[in-house]
Amino acid sequence: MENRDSQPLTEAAYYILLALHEPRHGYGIMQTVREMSRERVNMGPGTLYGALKNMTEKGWIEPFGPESESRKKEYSITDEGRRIAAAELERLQELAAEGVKIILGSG
Amino acid sequence: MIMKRTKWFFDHEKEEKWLNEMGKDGWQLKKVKARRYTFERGKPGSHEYGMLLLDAVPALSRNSRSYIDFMESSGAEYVSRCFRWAYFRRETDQGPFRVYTDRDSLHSHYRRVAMMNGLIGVANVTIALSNLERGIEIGWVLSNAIVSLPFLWAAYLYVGKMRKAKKDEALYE
Repeated sequence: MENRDSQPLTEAAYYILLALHEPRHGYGIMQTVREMSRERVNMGPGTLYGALKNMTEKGWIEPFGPESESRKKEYSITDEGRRIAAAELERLQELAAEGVKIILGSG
Repeated sequence: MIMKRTKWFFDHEKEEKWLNEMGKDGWQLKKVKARRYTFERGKPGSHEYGMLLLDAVPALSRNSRSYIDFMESSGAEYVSRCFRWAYFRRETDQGPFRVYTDRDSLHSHYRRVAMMNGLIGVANVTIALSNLERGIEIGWVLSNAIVSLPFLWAAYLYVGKMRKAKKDEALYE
């Protein structure tokens, strides 16, 4: 398989993975992402639906709990998802560190 | 108070815009059937409207039903459906309501719309050509050819939207 660890995640994907460190349903994810980003990231339900479907297929997240078939379906992050989120965090830290050095000149 | 309007759109984003303008004037969408829109008098600007294209009509597709369920569980209200288009709305005080908020999902949404229109358009052209070949009355041939035009036009329009959505990708995630 192609190694995509170094591929940046979209902001929406990264926030969804963060939000799902605790099991949540669709509305809960949207609210959490909004709060985490201080209202900056307002994810549309169509975008979220597609992202959840994709991430489930990739095995980054999975349906959670007894309600997994109902409309209040909850999702939770998998070990693979945690690994992907951690790799993204590392990438972001590197980006930020280089920026601090060069832009802010505090090398 | 109820008002009915018949209107045809090639571009569903213009349709959404129109529905939202009607809503701001106090005409809230109740039902869409074969391009006929039913509005009900309500509070101006109480809701914002959004549309999405389902994979198939809900009666035939579990996926479409679960999509509608998901939209409802995310705080949107299912208003109506016309063919594969589903109409939703959300109260304005919950913030701006857009179904798709990133380039990727918008792009694949445009692609689905372009595909649907393209397929219907091409099917009609194919029927027209095969009828022409079989020597069927020219009126029938022409009617299929004419029916194909709006669909092909819509497909063209959406391919343009796909391009536009892709354009920024080299710079923005």
